[in-house]
Amino acid sequence: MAPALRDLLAKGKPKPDAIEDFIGENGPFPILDGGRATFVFVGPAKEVRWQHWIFGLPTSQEFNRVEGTDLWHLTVELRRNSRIEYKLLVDYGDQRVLVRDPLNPLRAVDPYGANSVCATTGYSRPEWTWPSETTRAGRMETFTIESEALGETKYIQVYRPARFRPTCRYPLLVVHDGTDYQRFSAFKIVLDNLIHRLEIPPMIVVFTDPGDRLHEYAADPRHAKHIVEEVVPAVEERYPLEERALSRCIMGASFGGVASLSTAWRYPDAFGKLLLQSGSFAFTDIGHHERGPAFDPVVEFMNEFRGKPGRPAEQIYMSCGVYESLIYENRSLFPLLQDIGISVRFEEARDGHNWENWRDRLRGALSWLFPGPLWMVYE
Amino acid sequence: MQPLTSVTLLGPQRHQPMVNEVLEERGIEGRLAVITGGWEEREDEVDDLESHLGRPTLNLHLYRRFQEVISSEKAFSQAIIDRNDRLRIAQTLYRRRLRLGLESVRNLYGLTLPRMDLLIAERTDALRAVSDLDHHYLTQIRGIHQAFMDLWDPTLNPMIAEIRVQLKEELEGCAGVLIAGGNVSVLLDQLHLLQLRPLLANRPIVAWSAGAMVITDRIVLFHDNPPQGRGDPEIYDDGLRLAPRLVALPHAKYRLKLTDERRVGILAGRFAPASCVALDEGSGVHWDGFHWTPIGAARHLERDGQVSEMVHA
Repeated sequence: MAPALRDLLAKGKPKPDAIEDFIGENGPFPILDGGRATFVFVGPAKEVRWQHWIFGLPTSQEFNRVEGTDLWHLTVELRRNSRIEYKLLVDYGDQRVLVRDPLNPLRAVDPYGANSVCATTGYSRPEWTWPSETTRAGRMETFTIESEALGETKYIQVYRPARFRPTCRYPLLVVHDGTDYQRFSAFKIVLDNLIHRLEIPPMIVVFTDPGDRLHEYAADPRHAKHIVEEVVPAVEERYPLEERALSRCIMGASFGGVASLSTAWRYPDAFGKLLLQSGSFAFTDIGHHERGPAFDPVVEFMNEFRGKPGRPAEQIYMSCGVYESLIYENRSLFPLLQDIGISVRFEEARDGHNWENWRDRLRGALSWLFPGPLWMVYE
Repeated sequence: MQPLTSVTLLGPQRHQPMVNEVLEERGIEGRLAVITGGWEEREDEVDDLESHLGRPTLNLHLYRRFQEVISSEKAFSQAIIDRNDRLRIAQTLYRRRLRLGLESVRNLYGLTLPRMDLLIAERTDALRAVSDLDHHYLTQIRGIHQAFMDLWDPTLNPMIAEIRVQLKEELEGCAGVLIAGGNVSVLLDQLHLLQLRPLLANRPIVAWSAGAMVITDRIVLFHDNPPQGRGDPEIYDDGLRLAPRLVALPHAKYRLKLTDERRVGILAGRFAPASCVALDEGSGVHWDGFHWTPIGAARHLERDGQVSEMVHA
């Protein structure tokens, strides 16, 4: 328990105005105290639970009520440099609601809404993820493709770096879940900053979006065909790209990681580099998986891939949060890729399956896959 | 032999240009030759610079001219590729040794002992070993350059000889030379292979960022917080030796951890007696042939780990 809360409770049952003072003087919450975080809730609830998505811990933990008051609290031990997304499950008797922590202004937005964020000592949002006035900004352009492979119209967004020159040739990066990566992982800002700082070279980045994501990204061969036979040639027609596979990378997170690996595996000469974040690389060695039917084609693909990995790329960067259930599958994939002679880097983060985790890994990933002229250019 | 000319080294010019101010102060009037070869394909994009200067410039087009030589002289071009391969191997070996050497130095600088006199002696010796390695590396790459020159003396190449005649004429019609930043390696290669040093000596020069680095004695590459690797500063090559006894560190505020006394002290000690000068925006240094004098709030790194404003000689 945080010392401030212990001091409050040591004086006996706190009155409402003392609780109000305590909240005003000690917020925002949770209170971080060494390796502990103390969460606090005030309200006329029957039960309050801390609901998180940390693999290996009970999914929700119960708050303690200070007898005879509306003050609730929970202290948990958390490691340094951790970032945890959570909500509070509050039971008011007549209704149970899942809410963001009202005493914590930190939020992480994702396609499903937003979560509260507890960032422990040592973690801060990397400065290269914030917009900068001095950074030269790239431009977003769009075009559409009538996809025969998928039987639908696809909307493609292309990042054109600042100081683009039609006479130069550029590396190519293809991003799955492109709109989400821009909205929730600040991808365009990250690209602008890393290119401006010379940490990566100027590059053409193609942001693609799925139609029916859970089918299309679940190792569907039609998707691979769409990317390699439709998207890449369409981009080649419009932008000057370097031709060799080592200048081309495909990336994605979660199911987008599966889509990336599946595409590279089916077309081994198309991309020399892969960037896989928290890939949903579920597989089975014995019996059936328990991840639900959406994973059936993924498991089928991963089992086939593990049997015949081929050589999907020359260089692969993988990352995964240690608080997500996929850590086991990602750790299992790492040595397999090493064994087939691919240059692989695997980074684990004290974070979960979320867009901010993926955002925070982008600098390390991109600058390793595409080192910029940082050491040579002094403008 | 020291050049008799005046040389001014400045920090980055993008946001706070001060070239014009320096030119006025130095009384450099008339046409200016410009070297923007470090900008590579953007060599011609001098609009912002000319708008700041308020007068047209004569672009020496070193990048374009050098590219023309490379594309028409295949054997010469292949010899450069072979030389670069050898340089890369030497650099890889140097980096391996440097990493271990600097690890040892940093380890000793991180210790405190009751008998500091003994520790200081070890620190000094470890730092000397790194300086010796820097000198050894320079000797190695000088040998590689010399071997190349023995076979492919650029002055004997008719195409380069013609370019040099043109450059000499162009420079003679100018009151001074501006050398912009950019890719230090590309810029240095143009200057070396087109043998620009004798043409630049004895002319007023204002150079910034990579341009400043290439005219010093030794070029040091540096970044304390790179996204990959440990950020060990390393020798790149000899410069043109037109700005003596100084290591130019442009963008130091951004690229170096200037509040990290250990890193600052090691950097300053390693390259002493040359002075490590932070060339940030709005600052610079001027060489009059005898002394360095600061411009703006120019700072230099000291062996005790401090970063101090330079004082007028």
